[in-house]
Amino acid sequence: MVFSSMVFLFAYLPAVLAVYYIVPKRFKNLFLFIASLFFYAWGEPKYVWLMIASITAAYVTGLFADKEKYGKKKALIATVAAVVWNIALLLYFKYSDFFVINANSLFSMQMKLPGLALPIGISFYSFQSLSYVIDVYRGEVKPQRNFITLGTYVALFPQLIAGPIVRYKDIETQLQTRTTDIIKFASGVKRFAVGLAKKAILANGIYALFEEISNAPQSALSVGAVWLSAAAFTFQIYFDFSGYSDMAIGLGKMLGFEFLENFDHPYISRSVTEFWRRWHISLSSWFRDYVYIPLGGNRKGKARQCLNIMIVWFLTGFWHGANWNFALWGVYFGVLLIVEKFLLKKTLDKLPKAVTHIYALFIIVIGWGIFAYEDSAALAANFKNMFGLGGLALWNEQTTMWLVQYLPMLVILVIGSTPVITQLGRMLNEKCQKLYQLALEPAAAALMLFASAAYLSSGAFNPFMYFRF
Amino acid sequence: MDNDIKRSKAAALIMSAVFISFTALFTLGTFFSKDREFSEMENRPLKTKPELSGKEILSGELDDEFEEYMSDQIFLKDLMMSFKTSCDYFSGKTFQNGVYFGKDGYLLQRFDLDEQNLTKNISYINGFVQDLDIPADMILAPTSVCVNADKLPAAAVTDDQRKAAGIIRSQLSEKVTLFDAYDTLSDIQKNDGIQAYFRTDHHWTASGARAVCDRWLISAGLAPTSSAFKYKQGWDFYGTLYSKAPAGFVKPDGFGYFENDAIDCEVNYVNEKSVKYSLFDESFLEKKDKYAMYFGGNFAQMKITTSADSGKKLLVLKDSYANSLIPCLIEQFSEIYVIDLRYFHFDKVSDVIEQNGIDRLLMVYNIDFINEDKNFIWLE
Repeated sequence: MVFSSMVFLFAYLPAVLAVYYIVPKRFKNLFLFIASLFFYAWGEPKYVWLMIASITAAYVTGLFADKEKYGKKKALIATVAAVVWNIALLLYFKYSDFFVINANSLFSMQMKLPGLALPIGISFYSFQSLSYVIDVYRGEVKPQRNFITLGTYVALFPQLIAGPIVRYKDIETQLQTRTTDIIKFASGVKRFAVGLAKKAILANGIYALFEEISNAPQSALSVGAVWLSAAAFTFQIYFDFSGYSDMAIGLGKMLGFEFLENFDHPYISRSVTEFWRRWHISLSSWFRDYVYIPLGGNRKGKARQCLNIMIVWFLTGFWHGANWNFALWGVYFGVLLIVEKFLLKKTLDKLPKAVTHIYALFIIVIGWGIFAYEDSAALAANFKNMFGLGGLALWNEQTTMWLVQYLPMLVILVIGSTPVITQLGRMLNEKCQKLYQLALEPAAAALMLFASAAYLSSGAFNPFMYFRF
Repeated sequence: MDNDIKRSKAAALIMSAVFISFTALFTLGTFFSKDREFSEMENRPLKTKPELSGKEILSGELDDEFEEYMSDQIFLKDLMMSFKTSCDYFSGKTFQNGVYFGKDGYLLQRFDLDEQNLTKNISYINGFVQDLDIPADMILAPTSVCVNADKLPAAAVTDDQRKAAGIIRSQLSEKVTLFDAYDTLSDIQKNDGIQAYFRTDHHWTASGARAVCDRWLISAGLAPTSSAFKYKQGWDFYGTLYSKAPAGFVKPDGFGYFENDAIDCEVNYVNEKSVKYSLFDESFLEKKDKYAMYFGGNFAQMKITTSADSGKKLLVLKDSYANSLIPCLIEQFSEIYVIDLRYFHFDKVSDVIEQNGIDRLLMVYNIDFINEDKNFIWLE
């Protein structure tokens, strides 16, 4: 099930919220666990067993990863077992086709493709379970002896299929003792409405432009149109992904949880380094804490640090999908991060703001150009077109039409990418608190919810982007 | 301080109430309202309740099926559809679902020239008329986007139907006398103030069709329609283009048709084996798709026998534009055979001509149709 669907909004969610608020406290986790399994099984009935197996693996290895109780050796074995289990799961279900294809072409073999359908959310829940066991081993959290509680953590439906990657240590106490109240619920509603509108109206809307330009024949394109499509993808992926995170955080609040932020206006960054501090924060901090730092981070000399950065960013890219373009996308950012760290940092600090904004955006947009095309021929053709090597005119009538049709939406997307709207809200809240809190905010939320429902039910384009993750 | 807490509590109450009423409205509304089988507004069948079977539950197909079902049957569906279309329009999207929102309330379907298909279709027609020994005519109608090009919104892109007409003119066999309806239609619209096309439908109006028919009749040496044709009107009409882009602010067309009481007609629906004694099915005037009142829609083969005493027998090969034009031919022809190649796939057109002693062939097509349709192959 996905959040931006009629079934979720008008069947699943109301039923789950109603029951959740009715059942006694001690059964709330059990109910959430069952509801989450249902949420997952609705779209992936075959793989719900895999997730239950994964929870069981995390539960057992987590128990034994307790150094104090079982000693360092046993705990280490348990942790290694958890690592092997989760990595093996990912390799098998996510990457086996990729490896077979590449082995076949490399050694001219004819191995049959496993052709497994990727279990949705596997990359998210594997990372969550893994972080839990490692944190137990590190002594940062106590092992969870209640299977239901751990199951609730791993399967929790708000963040199950598209993140954020919530750490066990961040919600450990909330899993046992969390409170729900009207103020928390209302702030959850606000957040959910914003996320839903970002996804259903803005992300889906601008993706239509990307699709239209992508599907146009080469003869109808121009250099301008190709850049327009790059801009469309850039906005689409941010509004889609951060919209999902907003919805997850909002739903979490409605259920009494507080998740950490996952996006912080990434497109206002002035460097690649800054971009990765603001983009998909839960993923980059996961890689920092469980890969980069264990590899030695920056403590073993510059050469080793560069190697570590490259490993982390290769993995980050590859995490996004079993294809070379995602790996290339990661490596691209790894190289740029190293360049910034050791060569460009001082220059960037001195340059005027506008220049560094343009620099960072250019790098980001080019990055999405690598990310968007799994087919290497299409990827190459797109870059040729972008840089005027595809034999396209600079501009044509169709490009004007696309621009005119989508200009107001592009303006909204630009404004929505900055903190301006949040700041405006804060200002209104200070100047006319009563009006803002009692009328403006609820009216805005009502409008966003209704409009989202209208867009979703009208059969508008509604892709799910994370089936590869 | 106490006031602040009270206020934020009140604000939270309002916000929660918004959310609860929103979900309750659509959840309860959807589950308690009766399912619709057809959407008049969108002019398409709606998805009805999926059946639960073990196989579907396990395959995960239920997800898609239920989603489709719920979005089709959602409470206030038409209102939301129209709200969405309007929002898109006011955000600058004057082009939606292949349709432009033009000036003066005109919805205009974009024309994309497919030269290859067009040429192929003409060659099928040429091959067909090669061995024909009766006179053949073609009435070629531009669509609204061509005649009403001045009503297109800013920066609109559409291919030139005059260019397509030129291609047809240059490639069409000399055996076919081409009647290009463009001049007539733009003439009556500009000079006589007659609305030649519906604003919300992709067809021409009854007046547009009659004017074209008259000028063709004259050019073919026949008499134009007489004053026995009376105009009947008074129905609001939201056509097919509205169904594609149903915005709340779109005003309906007025629907009307010409009826001639002096001539009796019998329509024989050949494949359906049924007979009617009128060219019109008035029941459609009470439904959304009013243009289907001509003959009740499109059929593979019809034989119209009229009380006209000319003894002339005409075969019409046609698309739906012809449906409103054919009633204007009943004074001149005693028998009118009508074939729609989209549905006429099992017999040969040349057999129909031979077996019935037909003495004239008329093709009535709009340019968009010849450009796009894939059924001319059935002429072979």
